[in-house]
Amino acid sequence: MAIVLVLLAEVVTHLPTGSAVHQSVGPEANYVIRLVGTEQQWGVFAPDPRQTSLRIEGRVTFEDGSTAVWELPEGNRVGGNFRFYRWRKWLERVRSDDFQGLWDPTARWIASLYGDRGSAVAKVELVRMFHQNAITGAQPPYQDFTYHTYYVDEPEKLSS
Amino acid sequence: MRIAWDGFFFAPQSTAPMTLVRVGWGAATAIWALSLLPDIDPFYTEGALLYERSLQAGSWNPLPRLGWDHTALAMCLVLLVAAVSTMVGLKTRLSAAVSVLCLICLQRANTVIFNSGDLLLRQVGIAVLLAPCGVLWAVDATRARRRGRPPELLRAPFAMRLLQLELAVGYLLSAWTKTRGSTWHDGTAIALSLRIEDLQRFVAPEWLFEQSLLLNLFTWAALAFEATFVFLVWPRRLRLWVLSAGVLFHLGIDTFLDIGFFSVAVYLAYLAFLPTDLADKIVATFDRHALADPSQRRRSAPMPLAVEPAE
Repeated sequence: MAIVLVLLAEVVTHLPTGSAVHQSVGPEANYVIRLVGTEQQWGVFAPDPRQTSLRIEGRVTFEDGSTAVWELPEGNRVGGNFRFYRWRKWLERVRSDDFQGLWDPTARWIASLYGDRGSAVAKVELVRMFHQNAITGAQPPYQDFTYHTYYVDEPEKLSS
Repeated sequence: MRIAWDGFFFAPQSTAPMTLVRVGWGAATAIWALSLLPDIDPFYTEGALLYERSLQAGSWNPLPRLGWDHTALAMCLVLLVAAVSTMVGLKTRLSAAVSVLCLICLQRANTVIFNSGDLLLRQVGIAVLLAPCGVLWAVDATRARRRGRPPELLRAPFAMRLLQLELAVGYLLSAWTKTRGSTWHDGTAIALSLRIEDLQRFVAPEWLFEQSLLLNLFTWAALAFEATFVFLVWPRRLRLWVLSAGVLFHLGIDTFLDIGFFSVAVYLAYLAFLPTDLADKIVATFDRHALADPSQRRRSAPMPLAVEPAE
């Protein structure tokens, strides 16, 4: 019986959020599957696959005016894929407007990577790069947009 | 109805399929832990990429409350050891429980880096934890036999059924969610998925994108596969065909898209669907007890299996 209840709860969590069933028992179902640790996401490439390609850059400006660019770590596609898929998932979220709470800590972390340079970091700009995917032919160039700027303040420099 | 229910969930049967799931899951989870180790810093480091985010109601996670800087690293190492222990069948249930607990804690501590494959891997682990899958090809079983207490080989398969139903219903839910979109209808979803550059593992050849008819068929075939799996996988005569189609489907996904452990977790769940005689033969290659005393095994299965009459 427990198996059936867990399965039913899982089905309910995947119902359209506007449906009457989801609205009446969705929160309870969600609570149950999380309590027993069986939450699932069966919405891969659904309802539609994403139609844009994404990249992210951290553009670092130092106090002496020099610059550096932080890019997403990548690795071997055979074997390394089991590690770097997590960075790709992170990219999807950290560049999203739905996850604005991640922006400042991310920029601060990128700044910390350059703490051993001769000049201190003055600011980090998070830049989202994207293009609409074309099914056939050459892909359009990436457009870029600076969506968050983090200025390193003096107390932080002293503490680092 | 009651007999069919009992037969499906509780009629004793071979544990060989779940033994294969256990060994594969232990190995995959050990690789999962190993692949996470290099990125514990920054993903689990305060002040780096460990973000403060509230979990949804019902989600529990003791990891953030432990208050030690190296808790995540320690937990990942414990997971590695526990997963290897599960793989070899040493203290099988305990090691599986520890592994699942570590997976839950690590996955919930930083939810922004994991995908549906990670959750499915955990789900397979929960089935391993609940199943009696340490009675074949396991250190526990060898020790028990040495002590003169050979483990019962035929057991109620409810945990295996949980895993089977999770996957089958999951596919159906996935198909249902896709029917709300437009690109699965117009047949372009596969082509669009393969064009997502930040998810590409190996880039599909350019000529493939010119084959719009073929890509339409691939899209609808994928949708049809997901929608019908729950119905077609149960009859014995279709099962290996359905699983083979699924393996090809996920090999295609895994070749072109970098989605981590998703396909691996699906393959592991497929092992739970293997016909028991086939699973017995595979396990018997490494553990002769899998085929021991078949007459006793027939006597021990009095319940008619309504859904799987051939077994």
